[in-house]
Amino acid sequence: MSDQALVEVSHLTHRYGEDQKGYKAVNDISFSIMEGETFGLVGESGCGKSTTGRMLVKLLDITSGAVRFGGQDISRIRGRGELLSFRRDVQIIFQDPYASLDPRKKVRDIIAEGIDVHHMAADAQDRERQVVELMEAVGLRPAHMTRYPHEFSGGQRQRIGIARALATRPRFVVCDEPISALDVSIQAQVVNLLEQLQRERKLTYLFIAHDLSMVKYISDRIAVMCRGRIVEMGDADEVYNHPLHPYTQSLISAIPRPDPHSERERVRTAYTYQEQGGELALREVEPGHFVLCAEDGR
Amino acid sequence: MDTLQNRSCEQLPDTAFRFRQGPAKTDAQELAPPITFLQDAWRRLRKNKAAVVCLIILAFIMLIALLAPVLAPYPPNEQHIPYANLPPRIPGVSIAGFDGTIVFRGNRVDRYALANVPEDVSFYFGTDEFGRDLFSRTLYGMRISLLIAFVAALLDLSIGVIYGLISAMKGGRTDVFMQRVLEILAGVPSLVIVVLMLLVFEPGVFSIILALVISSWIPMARVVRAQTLRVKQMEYVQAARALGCTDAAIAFSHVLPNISGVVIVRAMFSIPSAIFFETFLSFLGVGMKIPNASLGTLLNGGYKVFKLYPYQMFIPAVILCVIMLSFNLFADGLRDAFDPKMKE
Repeated sequence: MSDQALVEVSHLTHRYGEDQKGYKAVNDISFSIMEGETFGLVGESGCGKSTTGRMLVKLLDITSGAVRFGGQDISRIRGRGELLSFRRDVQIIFQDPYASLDPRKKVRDIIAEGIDVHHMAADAQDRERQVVELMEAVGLRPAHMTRYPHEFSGGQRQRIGIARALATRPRFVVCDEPISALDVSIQAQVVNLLEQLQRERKLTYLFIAHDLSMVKYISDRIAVMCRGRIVEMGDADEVYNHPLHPYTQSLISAIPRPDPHSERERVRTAYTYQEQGGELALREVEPGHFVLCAEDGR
Repeated sequence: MDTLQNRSCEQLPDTAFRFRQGPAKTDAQELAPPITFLQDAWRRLRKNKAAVVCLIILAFIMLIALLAPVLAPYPPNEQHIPYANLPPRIPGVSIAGFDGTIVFRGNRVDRYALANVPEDVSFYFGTDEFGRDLFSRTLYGMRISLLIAFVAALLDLSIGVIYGLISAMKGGRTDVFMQRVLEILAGVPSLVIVVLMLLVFEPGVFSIILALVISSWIPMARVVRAQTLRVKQMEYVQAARALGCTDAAIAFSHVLPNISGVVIVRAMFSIPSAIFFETFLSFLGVGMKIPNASLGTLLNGGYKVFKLYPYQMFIPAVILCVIMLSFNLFADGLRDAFDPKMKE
């Protein structure tokens, strides 16, 4: 991890619907992701995490605000050449391993798609060699490259999706709930694989999930989102152990513990959203720990 | 006594475990060639008896239509007035209706003998009012029907598919504009167009094809657009976009293969309606040019003398029905084969 911010998000907003009446799925959020770190983004369904992720990889338009990748504003990318070099550096891993692979293509061609688009292979042999390398890197048997996606299990499919994203040798990968569609035992495998790949390939992750314990495990820093806004942001341990915002407290109280005694006493704190008076803003309460609150600390 | 059985599994020493011996799987065993989409569809299609029978009938019809110049015993437009309105006669067949006799004022008379036709000359489907051989004319008429079928499928697969793809992939204002154009075209009655075209062009295959160009591909364009909009939302298309694929590359490498089943089925269903369109126009007299045969002109000639010589209309009508039914049932079977979930 370095102090150099790779991705800077400032006042990012996305509105679904054409006019002012549209719904703001993401409402004025700002954060930055350092080179080499894993930045976790948690929140309930519909809170805007995936929308944020898709805007970061330019799959969705930015309504207002800015995303800077390596210092360049991504909404100002003009021309095919610039776009391609951005696409090469920034990749995304999708949530549903069943929907994210084209059922009519062989695994080899799915993984090699990025190689083809960016002309990264010298010839057919080189292409094949790169695919074999990628399949080995994600723990798949290269002999399976002529198979179709439906012949694989969910975990294996997710590995194919990871190999496809890594094919362009990206610097920044958005993991859009890569594990939530998987069985718990497979989740751990995939998360460990992602961590291993991060070390080997010096990747920066934006890790989106709704499971705070899993995000805490993989992330260096965490942002908690609720209703399109970031309500709390800080170091993973800090947010997990000393949650300040009632929504974060509620999320943490919902995590089951692998201990029957404390599990029996665990009380789920409910969080009810209420309109708050005053100017809400992310305020630094401790070094590196931000909470969305009014000036007087409510 | 501290036996192995009494310990829990954490306490067991490593020596208590050994690898299970078993035959090692070889790659060759595991890697039977994967079944492709088309193989899978073909396997399901073969199970559908009706579709297979229709496929065989269609193949047979296409074969004899293609071989019409070889098979036809007489030139289709050659007139021989003395032999007019002869009933069917097939040598060696003595079933009433195919033995050259008709019932005339209560008596069965041999028309061939009355017309002084030599014993070795037979007309399998009879002759029309100008003494033209209906068997030859039917063969040539089937050629026209199949040509129209081929053109309709080609138009569907070219204009229809591309129009639908562009409309859905571009989206936004382009989509709205293209859909309005489609609605205007669909609103134009094609019969009126064909009749108006007679003012400019000679009637014939050309004007029928032109009428098809205007409107036959519209349902296909709509189906392709709807399916493309569905596939466009899929995550694998999003992934392709994130990898940097252009819209055109996505349309051809991801969307088209995934909607190919629906496209093929739609094209197959549009064939019988195009054949019927041609027949209908020819029947009305605005289709094929007069001496040339098509199933429609044969029906037109036949219905005028239906009471006297029912075979003249009956035979082309049956053949038309068989062609239409075969295409429809085959298309039905194809639909089930390509998408088992689409059934019902």
